[in-house]
Amino acid sequence: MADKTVIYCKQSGGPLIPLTVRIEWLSDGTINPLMFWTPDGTCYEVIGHSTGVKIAFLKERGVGLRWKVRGEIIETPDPETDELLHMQHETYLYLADKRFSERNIIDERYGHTGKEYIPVTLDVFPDGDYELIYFWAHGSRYMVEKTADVDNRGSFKAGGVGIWHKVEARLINADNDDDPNPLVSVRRTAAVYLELNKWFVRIAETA
Amino acid sequence: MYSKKTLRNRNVSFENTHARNARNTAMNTVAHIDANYYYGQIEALFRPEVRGKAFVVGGDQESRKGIVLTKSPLAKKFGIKTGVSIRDALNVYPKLIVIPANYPLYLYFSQRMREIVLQHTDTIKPFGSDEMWAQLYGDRETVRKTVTAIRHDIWKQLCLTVSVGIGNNLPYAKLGSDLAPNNGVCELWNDEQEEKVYPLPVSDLLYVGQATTEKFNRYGIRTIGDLARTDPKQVCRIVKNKTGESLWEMAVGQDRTTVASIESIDDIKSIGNSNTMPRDLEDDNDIRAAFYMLAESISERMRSNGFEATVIKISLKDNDLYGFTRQTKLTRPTNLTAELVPAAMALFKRHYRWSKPIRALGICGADLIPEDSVFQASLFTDEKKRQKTVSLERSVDRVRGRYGHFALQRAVLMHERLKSVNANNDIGDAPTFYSY
Ligand SMILES: [Mg+2]
Repeated sequence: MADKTVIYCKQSGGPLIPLTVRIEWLSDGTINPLMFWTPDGTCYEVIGHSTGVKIAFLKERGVGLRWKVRGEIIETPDPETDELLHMQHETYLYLADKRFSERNIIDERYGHTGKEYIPVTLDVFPDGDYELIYFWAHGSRYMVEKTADVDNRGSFKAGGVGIWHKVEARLINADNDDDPNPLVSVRRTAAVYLELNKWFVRIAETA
Repeated sequence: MYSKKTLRNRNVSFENTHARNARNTAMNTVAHIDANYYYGQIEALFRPEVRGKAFVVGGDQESRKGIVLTKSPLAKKFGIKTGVSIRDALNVYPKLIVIPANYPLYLYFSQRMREIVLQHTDTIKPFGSDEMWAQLYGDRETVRKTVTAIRHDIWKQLCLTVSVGIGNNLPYAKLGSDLAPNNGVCELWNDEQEEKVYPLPVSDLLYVGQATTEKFNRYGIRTIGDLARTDPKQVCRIVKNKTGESLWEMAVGQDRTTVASIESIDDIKSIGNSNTMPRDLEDDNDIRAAFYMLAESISERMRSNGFEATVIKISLKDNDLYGFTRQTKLTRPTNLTAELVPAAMALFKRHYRWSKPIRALGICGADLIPEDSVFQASLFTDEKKRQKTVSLERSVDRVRGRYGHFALQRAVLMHERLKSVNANNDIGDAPTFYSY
């Protein structure tokens, strides 16, 4: 996977452009693109998109997710190209990795109090690797400062299985991305699991 | 599904094939791994509220329809048996919790379980959805360590307990996992067979069903030891066919089946079925009929699990037991018998020249993708016509679900000597192996 581009945009017939994409992954499993960066450092904000379509790639034998998106340039690599700001482009955005198109097998019938499905925000890199940015738990928003460990694990207590992420996180002001509220700046170690198409969490407080 | 890190850590080293073969012919070591009350354990993991309670998986509580597929330990204690109707089970214990089966979830766990075992060895042979044999290497201490690591990883990653049998051959290993307690291990080595294996009832042996047991009992063969001490020629006379020889070999611990064989098509992301045929197949028509028989069961399983195959594999063995596997990409993903069989036939014709009759045949849908995927290519056949086939095959599934496999058979299957084999039976005259 490392040497393959799986996150990209592509117009029909056009070239494939590797992207880093910021996505919000809702607690019901829905994934929405928020922003994306092209290799030259141009940053687009997604101002509109279709619903994600699960897709199978016949040639590459893979499966993944695709949207039609409208993006607006909100940052350019250097001041010289500032006139490009606010330009809008339409393209198809691809997350060509099975991880983003898993089925909802563990559905509503399994709801119970010991486990909370949560929304998360991720940055997904061109090779499919990703980094957790934010997650919500017990109604609060946390910013991930470090992902300390990743492994395949189940949680018998929470009643779930998946890819376990041990993260160090900080409680932040829910309304403002850039200004973590110092009054609620509690640090925690958390276990965040990606279970097929959804994320769930258990939080343990550190000393 | 692996995280990147797990893949990186997957640096288990294996002996080269030559050394392994040399070892296999000398003294083989295999484990049989069997998840405890599989569907029940999975459901209890995701439903903490039923843990420790009397529940069954299968059927439907309201309509009281269906049968018990798995029972929880407490339900078992109350006398509820696998295979009884939900109605009868509720009569035995009215407070019984009935959980409908979620096959896609069990399929996901099967795949994960196989992936985990494959991080500790290079060869497995799946048997049903929750059992498999695994080839093990090294001395007994090493083998024990490997088994402990496998059990640990299955628990850590999936929260499942398994029973493991270890032995020098596949049937003894299977016996061992049957004897082992839940979440336990039982070793049945050939050098301890007199004390540990021979006293067991002959019906415990793999493939010794009720009918065969009755035949053996009539000749005073009640234990595996009794069978082992009987002349193999006499065993053949008792069971009235050549399988007597192999049953005797199983009893004495000399079964030569290997973990890697024609039945274990190696792609774990696949649904396959293969069978040793009741007679040798001699021409293309025989092969087509056999492919239909095998493909109907795999397409049915793909449909019920919501998958389509993008690759088809066939495997075959001629009557000299020389065999091979071939695969090709399908022109479009499918789970329809009507599309799988022509693809399998084309593959067969391209690679087989009829030098010998065929003894065993397998077909496998691989590189599965979810059925609800949207496809980029637009090289479809007539999509309307295809929808007709889809709904036809779906209604066949429904009728069969209600009346059994023989209720509807394709005309091509009415070939007298083939139709007597139900490809969906777990165990017929010859072993049928599925890789779900
Ligand atoms: Mg079992």
